[in-house]
Amino acid sequence: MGFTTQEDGKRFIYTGNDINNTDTYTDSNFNQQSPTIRESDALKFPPLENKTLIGAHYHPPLDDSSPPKPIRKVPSGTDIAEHIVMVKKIAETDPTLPTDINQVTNFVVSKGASGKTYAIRTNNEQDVVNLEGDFEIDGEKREDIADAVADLILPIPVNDIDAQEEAIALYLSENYPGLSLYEAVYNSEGNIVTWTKL
Amino acid sequence: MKHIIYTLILLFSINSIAQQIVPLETEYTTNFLERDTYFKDINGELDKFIGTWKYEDTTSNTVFEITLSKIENTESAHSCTEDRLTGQFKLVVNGIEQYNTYTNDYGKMIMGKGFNPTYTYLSDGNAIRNPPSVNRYHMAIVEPSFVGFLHSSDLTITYENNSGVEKINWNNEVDKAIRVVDNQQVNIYQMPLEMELIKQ
Repeated sequence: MGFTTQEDGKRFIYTGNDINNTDTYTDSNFNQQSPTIRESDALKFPPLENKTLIGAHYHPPLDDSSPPKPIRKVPSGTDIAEHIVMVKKIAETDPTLPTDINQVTNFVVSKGASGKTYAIRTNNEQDVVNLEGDFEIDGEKREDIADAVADLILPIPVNDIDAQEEAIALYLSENYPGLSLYEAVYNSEGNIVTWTKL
Repeated sequence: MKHIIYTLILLFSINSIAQQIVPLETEYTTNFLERDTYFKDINGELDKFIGTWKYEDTTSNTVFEITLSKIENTESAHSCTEDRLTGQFKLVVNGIEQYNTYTNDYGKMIMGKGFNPTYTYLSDGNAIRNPPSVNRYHMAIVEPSFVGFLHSSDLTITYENNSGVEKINWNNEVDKAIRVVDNQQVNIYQMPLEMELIKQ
């Protein structure tokens, strides 16, 4: 079918002078970082650098197992854990000022006419900083979140995206209220015109 | 001094109230998405897995041995803790030891997950949830040459007792980790991905 069965994506590291000033978020103020390893449901990057503000990755439609299993479009538990790790790093090295919002954003994109674009954002940095445990890759907490979210999403029919979105949004609000999930709204020309909070 | 003791007792009481204890095997059934809970192996469901297990294949001259044990009260999702299996293992091929975690520390090589459900995938992409079983435990395992890829392993061990002969059916489903620079898979296992191990 020509689809890749591996995720792909990039991290974007801020190089400007004011990390909380969104007016400085231009291409010239970000360095791109590529993954070193690609898997069906994960990407491995070099160690997380300071000022890593944005992550964007692609969910393939199928994994590489035999027979292949469909991969859900909505963010996974490991996507949530990765966002938590990035927020903690920014809060440690470039703490957000009281009047600002933590700008760490993770985009999750899927392919095709029914493809979706989601963004995980932070509405309460301190809530995320206060989360205890190992959210890093191969950490027990990260794996347990992945298992919990999978058990929430997989029994929902694969094409019932609304129910999957509702489930993941409820999961976040009940377990990680410092995080929010948004969905991109596209116009007929394929441009994002706004974001809807799920 | 009295004040300090009262404070300590109060703090201990609050902590005890905050974390309820429930049987480990109910984590993915009645207590799914529970918070502030200790999923404890109250009913000893992990005990049947504890001990030394061995796989031997005379054709390929391969011997794999693992000793499983229980660790208590480890961190889990949603402010919970749980008891888990862990293990030490070694692989010998043609009489030559390939690795041995009993005697060498290579880093984090194995992780217990729990009595998780499984899923049967249908041709239309939907998945049927199969409930957890106390004879089926989920883990992740790696080998020393690719430490850091535990998350790519989905190991299911299923306990069987056939007329007193205790066995574990081992099925390790591996998500291929592809190195971007040369498109090569980095997590190729030396140990068999499927095997039957006998209790020693």
